[in-house]
Amino acid sequence: MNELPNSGTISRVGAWTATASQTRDQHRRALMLLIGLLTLLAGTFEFSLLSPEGWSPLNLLLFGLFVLLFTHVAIGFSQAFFGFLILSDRPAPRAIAATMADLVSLPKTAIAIPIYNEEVSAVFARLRVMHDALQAMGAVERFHFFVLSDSSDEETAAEEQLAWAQMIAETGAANRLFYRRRKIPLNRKSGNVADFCRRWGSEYRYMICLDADSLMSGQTIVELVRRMEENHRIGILQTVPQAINGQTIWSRLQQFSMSLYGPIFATGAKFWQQEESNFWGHNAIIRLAPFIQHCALPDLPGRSAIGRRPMSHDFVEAALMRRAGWEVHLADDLGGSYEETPPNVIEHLKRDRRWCQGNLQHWPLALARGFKPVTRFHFLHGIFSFLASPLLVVVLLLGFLKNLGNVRLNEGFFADSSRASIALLLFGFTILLLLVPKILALALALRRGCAGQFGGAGRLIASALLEMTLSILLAPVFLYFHAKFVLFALLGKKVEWHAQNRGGVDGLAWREATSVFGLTTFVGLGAGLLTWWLTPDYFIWLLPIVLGWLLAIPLTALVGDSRMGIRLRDLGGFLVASEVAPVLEIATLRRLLVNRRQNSAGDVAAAVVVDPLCQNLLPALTADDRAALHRKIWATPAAALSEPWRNELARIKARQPNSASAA
Amino acid sequence: MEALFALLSTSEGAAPVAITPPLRRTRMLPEKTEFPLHEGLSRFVRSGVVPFAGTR
Repeated sequence: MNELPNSGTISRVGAWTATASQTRDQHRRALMLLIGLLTLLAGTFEFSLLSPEGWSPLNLLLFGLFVLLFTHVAIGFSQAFFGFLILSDRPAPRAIAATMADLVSLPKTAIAIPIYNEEVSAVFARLRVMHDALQAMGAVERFHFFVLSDSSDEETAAEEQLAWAQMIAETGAANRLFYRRRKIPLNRKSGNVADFCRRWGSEYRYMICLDADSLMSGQTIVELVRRMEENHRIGILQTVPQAINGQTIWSRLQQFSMSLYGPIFATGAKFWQQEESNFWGHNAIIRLAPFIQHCALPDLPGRSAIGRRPMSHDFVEAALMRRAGWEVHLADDLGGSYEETPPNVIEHLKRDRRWCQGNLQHWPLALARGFKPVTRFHFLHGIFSFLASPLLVVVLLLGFLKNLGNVRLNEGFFADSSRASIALLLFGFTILLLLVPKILALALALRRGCAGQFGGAGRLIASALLEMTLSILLAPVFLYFHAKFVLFALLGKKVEWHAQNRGGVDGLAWREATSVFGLTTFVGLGAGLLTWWLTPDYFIWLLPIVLGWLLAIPLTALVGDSRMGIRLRDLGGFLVASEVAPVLEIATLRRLLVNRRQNSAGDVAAAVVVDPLCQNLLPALTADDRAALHRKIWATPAAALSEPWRNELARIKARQPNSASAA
Repeated sequence: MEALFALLSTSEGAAPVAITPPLRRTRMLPEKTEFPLHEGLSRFVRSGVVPFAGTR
């Protein structure tokens, strides 16, 4: 069963990875040099700012934290900078076109879709789009689709089975579309996928792992398999999904960011990571034999309320794959991979909280034996992406305390004008490093003539400016919550596993925003008043953060409102290629989702039950499922039932009035 | 309920299909992962060298 790494037949796509080992070290040296230079420059500013005061423990701590935080900013900038340089020279990607020879030689591949109490009709709409796309290409016979349900809600589970039956009835995909439900969702998503691997993994060479909200074009699915076939060293090939179907301002902002800025960051990541990239848990293809052999998740050491099983399994699986000698690649040049993003800031923060706890769990792995240095970097970088927030809060508090002491000594904050200039310069430099990647991505899109994908140059520039403004205003909200999440994780408070709200059609209510961000506003008010009263000079520096906290409620309510999002779209704000010129898959999905919404007034489950043609397609219904459906039939308005069923129900009611009313 | 399902015409319905393919079980067990630094730190804390450390 196990495939050993071999050189394989590296021909057409060989060039895609051939340069990896030759240039990898040079690329890493270049990246580290840039990060080092930027950090050195900023560190020198900070040094000259603090040294006149003497190197007290407080100043030493501040300096250390500053260097640490700035390095994090410099890494992001440097990655994007190299991504920009590469993309400036690279021609725009051409459309992929699989040949018949490609299709004939494709090995059997499983497409796994783990789901957990998701909106069933949307999941199956995406599945239908991918199935039909592959069918249109003539490749569908090479793929088996597995809907892997962990749904705890019986009603949802019954609906999933009915949707599965309905899709089979409509497509005739009986031997290539499968449904499996676990009654006990052990180890969540990673356990769900591992369960698939144990049951059927040995039957397939590859598994394309998707999320419930994932979509891939048929060409991309085939291309992924083809690339795996042409480089037998790859264990995991990760695509860079683009966000689609945003309704609210927040989800539209994210899809715009991912579409405009995503490519330079992804290309920059590929530039230095090469065959040591990371796995993001979905929209990727996995070589199953090494995955089954090497990537079962280990228990983490120690005692933790969060648990000993890694929550953020994807990083760990990539690490284990690398440890076993297999390559993990990022297909930064491959389009046709899509996902949906949280509709509002609250849903986004819920997801961040899970990721935060999952990433913080990784620290023993970062120090475990046998992992590659880049793998350790991935773990530490993931940890620091959340740890940066509480550290920044500590810096702000220390700054406040220091200035409080200076005011008492009648020195004032930066009474020395030259030091004030250095502070301003340092602040400007940091902001520049955060904004320049976005400006570079904007310039790249304009230079490559891609503005049309964003609705034209004017709309693109306006959208980018709006994105930067909203991101700056909302950054303090994320700072506050990420700091809180880290604190909660350190205190061992467990994250509950809830299904995600991916729709956001109704938007974020003001009441909900108030209940979640009320304390944030109160903290902002308190921090603002306190600094204004005690350290007025420091208040100016803290103002951007305080402003974000004060505006948290109206801002999050506004960006979470789908009506405002649609209005903004109509005005040309945050337009992306998937809206301006959608590919066939996205256009089809949109049509299916609209039909689903129109039909959602009726009861989908009952509609399928009353269709006699589907009845024989429901062998997996348990007695509980049947009882649930029975209740549904009795609860469904007669008008929604077909004539024979209505007549039968009326006959039974007339015959057994007591039992009918009891049901 | 049985009466309702009995009403359905089996002749019109499609043939029953498998909801999953036949099982092909295989083992997927975690490989040994060692945490020497973590365990060393834990031993150090438990050794009592640092007063009060590790106590709950």
